[in-house]
Amino acid sequence: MSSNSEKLEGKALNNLLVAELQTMRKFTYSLTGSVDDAHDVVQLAVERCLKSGVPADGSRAWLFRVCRNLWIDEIRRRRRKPQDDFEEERDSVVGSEFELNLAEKDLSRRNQLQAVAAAFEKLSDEQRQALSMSAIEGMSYQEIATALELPMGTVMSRIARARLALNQHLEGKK
Amino acid sequence: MTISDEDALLLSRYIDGNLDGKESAGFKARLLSEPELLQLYEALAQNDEVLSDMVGRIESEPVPDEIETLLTESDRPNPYERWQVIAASVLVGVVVLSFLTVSDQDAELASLLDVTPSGQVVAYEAGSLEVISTFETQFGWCREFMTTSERGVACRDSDSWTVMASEPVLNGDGGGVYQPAGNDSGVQEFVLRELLGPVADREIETRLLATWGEEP
Repeated sequence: MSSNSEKLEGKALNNLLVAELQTMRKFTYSLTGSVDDAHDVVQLAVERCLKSGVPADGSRAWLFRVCRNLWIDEIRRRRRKPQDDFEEERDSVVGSEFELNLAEKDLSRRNQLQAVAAAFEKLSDEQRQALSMSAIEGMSYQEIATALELPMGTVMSRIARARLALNQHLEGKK
Repeated sequence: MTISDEDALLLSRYIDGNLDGKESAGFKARLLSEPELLQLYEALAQNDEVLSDMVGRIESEPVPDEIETLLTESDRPNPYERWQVIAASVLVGVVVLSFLTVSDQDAELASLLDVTPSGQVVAYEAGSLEVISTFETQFGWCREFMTTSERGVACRDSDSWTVMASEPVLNGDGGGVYQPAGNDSGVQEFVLRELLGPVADREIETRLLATWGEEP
């Protein structure tokens, strides 16, 4: 996105943030696995967007990018590792174990949710981000490519591999 | 089941509705004739559904007061905002406001606007069309869209679409690539000036498309 692009501010920005709040919560929850951590990231993201504005073009993708970058920064801060060590671990799972505040009385469904959560945790953080944006948030491949600053072909193959890997982890538990 | 990288990509794109009409029909035929592929498709689609359910559970959690407060405070009207928009319009000039009822030649565009969800790329003329968003204005429900050659906003009255703003896409290369035409965009100006409330979420948009799609 061009740094000179027009920005959403004021009422228009507020409308966007209100409209996308649930999406941001779900996305950050998929990354952090924790409701509290998700809300921390969303709060930081909202503060940052209100302070700096959001590009009018690709605003939705921008919001996802802000959330993702804040999540990565938070993980780095907590781990307090030198940059090199973090880069080595970047492809490994960085989120905490998925919290499932389940009020699910159907035991079969509960087991299914727990199994998918456990398999999802095993994906790399890049695969989790891409799969979350596509399968959960229903973003277009172009939006995801913009948010993750990746070529669209990379996005498509990453999502495909994430789906297969998730399924393989699930089958491995059987 | 062992699956080729190509088939894995096709399967994933099929699940995401990313294949064009011909590709989708072809892949669907394969699913019907290849039981193992169909089984894998069903498994992946179900995993998506469970994943969505799992993550969606945060929606039942209350939004923290801190976030509510941030949004409430930022919603206070800025009495100078409307004058700033008007002043900006005067300075840059009125850019591209054409009121063109969608003609028979653009009947295809109209029918696609009636049924295409935001974010989905579909075949249109010699290239493609992507609907960017759906939002409400004083003119009714409007949709911002992008084709291979044009970016625009069309609004729907009782039964027809009217293009309210449009501009050529620079360096358009098809495939629904969303590229801004420039900084002084009449389309952007229209959206910012006319937008009433938040962009339609998926639930609202699905209802609108279902209604429009049923009309003769």
